[in-house]
Amino acid sequence: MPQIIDLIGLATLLLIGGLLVGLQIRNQRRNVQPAFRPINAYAKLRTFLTEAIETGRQVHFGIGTGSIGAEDTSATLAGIQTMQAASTTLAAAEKPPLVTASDGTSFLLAQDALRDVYKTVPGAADRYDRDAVQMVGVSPWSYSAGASMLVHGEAPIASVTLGEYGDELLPVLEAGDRVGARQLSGTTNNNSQAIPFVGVEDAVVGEEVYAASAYLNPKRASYVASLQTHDVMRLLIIGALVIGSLVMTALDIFG
Amino acid sequence: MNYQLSLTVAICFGLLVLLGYFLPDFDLLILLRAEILRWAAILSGVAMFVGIISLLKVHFNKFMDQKSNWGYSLVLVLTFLITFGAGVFSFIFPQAEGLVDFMFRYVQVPVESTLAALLAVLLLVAGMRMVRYRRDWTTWLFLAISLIMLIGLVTIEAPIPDVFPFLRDWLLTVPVVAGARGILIGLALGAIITGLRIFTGADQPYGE
Repeated sequence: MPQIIDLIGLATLLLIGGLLVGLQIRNQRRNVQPAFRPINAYAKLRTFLTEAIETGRQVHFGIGTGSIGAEDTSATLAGIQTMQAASTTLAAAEKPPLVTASDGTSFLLAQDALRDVYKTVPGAADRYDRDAVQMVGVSPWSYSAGASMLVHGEAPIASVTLGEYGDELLPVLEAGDRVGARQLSGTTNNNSQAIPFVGVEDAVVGEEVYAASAYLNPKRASYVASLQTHDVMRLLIIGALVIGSLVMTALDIFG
Repeated sequence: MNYQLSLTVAICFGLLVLLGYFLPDFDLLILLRAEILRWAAILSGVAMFVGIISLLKVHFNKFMDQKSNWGYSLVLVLTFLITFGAGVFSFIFPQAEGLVDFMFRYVQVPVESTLAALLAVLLLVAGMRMVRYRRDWTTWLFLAISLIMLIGLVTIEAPIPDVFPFLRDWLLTVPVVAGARGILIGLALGAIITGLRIFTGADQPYGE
């Protein structure tokens, strides 16, 4: 029995992978420009970035308290990809963004991702600062203290906290509010969904965290393909749930 | 060239770990998977060390340049040196092995617990602020449900109508569970797709 479950898991993974690659190739060939469902928080993020360039003030990106290699890898990658996508715009600004991490692996990857953006954008290489990415704490609550301190001290124009966060997110949001930063926040932690909802005006809920990079960079075929795959899989799961419920109900009544 | 190399390494190692997970009957795959995970743990430790060095460097420079809040940076550098010294001391003199444990238990844990304890106050402040900046039905629904839950959770004997405990139980077992499961399914799909994007080389968060 466990082997059958493993094989079903592998088949599902192959299905998702196949959909992802297939849709990406299709998007690239047909130059697909999809219309996304409007998410207020991401629409405002573009405004935050423009304001940061105009005022010369920094934007803070919190990539979560997760790490690379643990179960929260995907959430951490989503935070890093959002920072990377936004930094492509911010590379034109006077100062690079402030990025906070709480683990060595996510810190190094974020530093690498930011350096890559500044190397790729013409004329931005000399504005890159390796200390723009900081590991401010090694545990969730020490990260909270360190990031709050940094936000309070540097007073960024905006603070974007997307990734794996627990309750430790709230002091960081509070610090952002005290310095008047425009804030966007979301967590992949199911138990802490209420924290960004209460803490900021523009919160993203659940899986919307993974959509940030596509909303910021809609021309990139792989980002669009991932949202499309997400939607196809969601429809399949909804179908399976409805059919399963109907079958179980019918079995209860007639069986 | 560097990019192709890092992409190949990412795909090969990802494939081996994945196959080792899904095909547990192949001993070679299990061995390789265990070995790769061991390497990952070592590299993660090295990354943590690099991160701590960077943290120290940033705060040392802040202290040297007398930037705003440099006093806190000084405290950080000093406490790091004390903790590191205690670790080295207990390594050289095994009879003092409880020193780091002592510092962790009587300094680190109380400090972090205090921060966590402030959460109730911060939540209250954030809730009041939410009413100020977001005056739509979601805010009022959030506040109404919070009130029902708080009243329904009262444990002392009080003249509370039976409807509150009933509503509390219904909220916890029906809408909360349904919503949480829905969010969880979405999160799981997002996590799988993000992972596969790296695995198929569609995304490269690492630089060249």
